[in-house]
Amino acid sequence: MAQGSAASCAGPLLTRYSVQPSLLAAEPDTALRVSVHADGCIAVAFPRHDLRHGTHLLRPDPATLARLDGLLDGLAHRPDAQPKGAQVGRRWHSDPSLITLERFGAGKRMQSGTWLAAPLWEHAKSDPDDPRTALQRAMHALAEQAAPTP
Amino acid sequence: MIRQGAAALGLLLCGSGSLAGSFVPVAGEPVDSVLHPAPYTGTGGEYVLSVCLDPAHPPVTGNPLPALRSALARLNSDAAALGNAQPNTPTGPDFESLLLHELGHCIGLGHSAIGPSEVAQHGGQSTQLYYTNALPGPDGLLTTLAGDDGVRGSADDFRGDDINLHWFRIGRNTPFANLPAVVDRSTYSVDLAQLPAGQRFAEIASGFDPCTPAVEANTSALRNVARTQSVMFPALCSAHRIRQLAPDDLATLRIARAGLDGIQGTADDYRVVLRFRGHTADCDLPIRFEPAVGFGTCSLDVDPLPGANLRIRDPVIRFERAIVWQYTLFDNAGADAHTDLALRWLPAQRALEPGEQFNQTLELHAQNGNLAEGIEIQLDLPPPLQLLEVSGGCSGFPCSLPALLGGDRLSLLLRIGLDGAAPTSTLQASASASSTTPDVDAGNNSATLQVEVLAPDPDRLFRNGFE
Repeated sequence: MAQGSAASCAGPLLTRYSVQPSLLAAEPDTALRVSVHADGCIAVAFPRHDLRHGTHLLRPDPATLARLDGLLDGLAHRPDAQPKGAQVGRRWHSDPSLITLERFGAGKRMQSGTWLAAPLWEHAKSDPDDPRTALQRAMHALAEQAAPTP
Repeated sequence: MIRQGAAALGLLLCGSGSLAGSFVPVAGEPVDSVLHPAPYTGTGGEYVLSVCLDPAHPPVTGNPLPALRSALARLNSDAAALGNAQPNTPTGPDFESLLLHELGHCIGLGHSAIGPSEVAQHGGQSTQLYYTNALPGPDGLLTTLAGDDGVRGSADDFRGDDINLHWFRIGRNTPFANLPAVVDRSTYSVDLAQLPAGQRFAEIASGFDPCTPAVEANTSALRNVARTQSVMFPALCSAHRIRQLAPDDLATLRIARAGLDGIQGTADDYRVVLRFRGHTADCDLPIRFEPAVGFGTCSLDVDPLPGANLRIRDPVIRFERAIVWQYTLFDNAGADAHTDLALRWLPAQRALEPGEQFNQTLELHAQNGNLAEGIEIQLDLPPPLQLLEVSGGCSGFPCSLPALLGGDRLSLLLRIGLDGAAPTSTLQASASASSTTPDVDAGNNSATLQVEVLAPDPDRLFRNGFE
């Protein structure tokens, strides 16, 4: 799995995923953005307040890409499984991030939308099979691979 | 107040049909429910809520402790200020501003306005951001029209059948006035029928336009007061930091302190003191820095209490670990305490005719140092000048203020009148400030306002603005 810091990927854009902290929504460059391209290149753009600020590229192995594709297609088949808020069981979480997913490309089942991020540290216990949470976890893992938290 | 089924307790709001106050909203509960901090059990008295920094989850860089001590001092001080949105030159998101916001959530406070998360929950649009917080009414939709003044979150907003969540002072509905002696269910309400005649919705304290100039959500400017924004406003802007409570924040805390019966001065009244326990995970409210948080969040559960009351259980605050925070540098707990108070009139000169009145700002600035405590402001207003009204933290003079942090400003708004029989002359009004904290420069602790009394001239209109 190659990785590095560069400007952009060359292939056509297939999927764009962003995580916007709700309290910073009125400020520019405050979202984490993950862009998946047709040539297998993934660009992770960290926001300006992150220690890893800037765009980092990685080329995951085919198995990782296939798993990601499966998660995205799974979302398309289970739109009703999408959580509608910051609620996790009986617990409330303030100020959730807003996740936006956009999919592009011929032949792909379109699945775009915005939802509130589930807190990964607690959601794993209450609803581990939620497809949106699984996607969040996968995207977070990709970001960590592109530029690990110090 | 009709309490609904206890089966819904603990299931917190995520969709329409759930009711709460401007406290953290709880599904299935009445819209005027009050959420109390974790230690309160319904018995009056003083409770300690211990707060700690979990040593197993530190930030990547920096020391959050000075900000934590300052934020706890804020919440314990019972002080609220106009002009609490202070200009900021950011090196990153202001940690203390966010910490104060999340601490507010974890002791029960909800958002003052509709933020991005509320828009997403209720299926709204971004054009509905930063109006007074509310739930969709029977039509299932949020309705948001800014009214004639064009300002979101003001008293003339048209909100259709939206259900108000914001507690306002009955018959006043101004978020910028001094709090009355009694703050409880008899003086504050979420019921729009108790608004002043002609007003449509609860007004919030906001000063938002520098963050996104295209969004007109600045009620401070609308009401001509120093930039004041509720700590619980659901947006942080890098151009400003908010490290002091606005009057509305304090009012909400005091409504809760009136206890289960909602009446101030009865046996179930309480007070919660937040106290730093240290670098440990063993406390009532741990704070952790972790990956995948996004920014900052408070997590909590809710237990029932009698009446329209609920209680927080197991609160936790988390911050994103990899953020380049702007940290508070000074430890405001009292070590090496010093300050440099500076006082000034804005403007410093006036010219008016006998019988006129004018609004005058007196600004106190803690220019340097850490926490200035035991502040007293004196005013010498010679006749024929008369003090008619004062707001912004004082109700008269001498005025005692509990504390002011280094770098912060406090703006008092004075309404002054000139006696109709005043002869032509030049008058000098003086004000002075002192603190029990050592002041490194006493030379700027007083200020003089020069007032030139003019001969009456019927052709000289609007000299002091449209007053």
